[in-house]
Amino acid sequence: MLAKRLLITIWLCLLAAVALPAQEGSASASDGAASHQGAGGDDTAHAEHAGTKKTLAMSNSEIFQIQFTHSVPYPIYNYTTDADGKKVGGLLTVYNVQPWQWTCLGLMLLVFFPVVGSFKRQRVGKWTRIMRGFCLWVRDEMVYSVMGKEEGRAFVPLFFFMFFFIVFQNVIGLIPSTGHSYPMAIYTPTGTPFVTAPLAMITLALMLTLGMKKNGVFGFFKGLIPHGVPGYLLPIIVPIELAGLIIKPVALTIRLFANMLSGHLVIAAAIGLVFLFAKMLEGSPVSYLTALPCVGMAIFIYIIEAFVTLLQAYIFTFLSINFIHQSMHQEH
Amino acid sequence: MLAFFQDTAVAVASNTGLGIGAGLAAGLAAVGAGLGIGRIGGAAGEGIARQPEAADAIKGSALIFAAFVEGVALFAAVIGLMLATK
Repeated sequence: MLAKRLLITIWLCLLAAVALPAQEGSASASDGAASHQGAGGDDTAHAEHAGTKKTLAMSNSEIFQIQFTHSVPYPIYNYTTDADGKKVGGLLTVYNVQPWQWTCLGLMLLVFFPVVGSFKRQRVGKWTRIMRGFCLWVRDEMVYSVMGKEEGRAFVPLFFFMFFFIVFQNVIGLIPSTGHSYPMAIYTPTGTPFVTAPLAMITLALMLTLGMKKNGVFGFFKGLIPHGVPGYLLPIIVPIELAGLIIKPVALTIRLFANMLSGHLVIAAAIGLVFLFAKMLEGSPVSYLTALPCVGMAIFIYIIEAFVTLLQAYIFTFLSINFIHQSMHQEH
Repeated sequence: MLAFFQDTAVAVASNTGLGIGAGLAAGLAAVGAGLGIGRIGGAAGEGIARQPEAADAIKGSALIFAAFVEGVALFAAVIGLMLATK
């Protein structure tokens, strides 16, 4: 019953998604010639650029360009204006991934308020039970298994948030979508370094502050150097350890964003082959046949990607826990 | 079809060096990561076969080690992307 209703909803969404961009395209076709000239270096001209040309009229590089431009963040709304009243990029610029981050936060509220409430009322629904099991797994297998029960208790809410925020951001990008504007085009927020770097900076800040609180400022930097290193090696060891302190969160950043981005790029390349074959065969009906293996490959990568979304969230959170624990309890 | 290949040839010839570099970056990273993850997987399988009761702990740490190796491979992939989209 529920599955049937869900399927109907998904189909209605898909129909709406197909219908809405078509209207957008016809609206932007009138001023298409003007926008096409400025499409070279202008970041905001993606939508018009994609709408004007037919696929068979594009060159090979244009096909791939249009597929890949949506994986790089671009500003969709600017609040700040310069002297001429023109809108420019500034502190409050909204990028295309940000609405989806806010959506993820809203979804998390929707999903986890019933979970919190289920502890007061003793009634537990099916969905609530699943999410409670998830929370228990994060607490016991990830936080408590590394930090121990007494010390880890204070960190549990932080790592709940970190894990589920990354999971929601990763998974929301897996929903197939079409269109150029917010509710119709879904982007993976974690597919950009600008989203993953702040998450890693939380880890770095906690590593530094908690490590210094526990060991003292001098003791923290002294504890970075392994015990019993001969004096003549210190000029080599000290820069390496200091760089290692910065490289850890940088590696966290790049691992998450590159994993999410590369999966989407491979899917985009597989789907792009459909259009390349159609162009190669000059739009003959045979291109329907050549499209089948391309779509099959895209679905295969999609299934791997669905596993990777959860795995990368697990790895990001688990490494954060390990790094913070290590900086608090340094080996001497 | 001829026009398609001419188009492709022009696109390839205009940035041959970058294309070769990006391809090498992606390919060599795949070779290195394959060797590394293969060793991790082999050792994890061996460990589980010897000591089935420790399977959960071995699986968890194997995933973490694989993530480290994969991270280095992805650095190379990112550099390849930067080269290819230059």
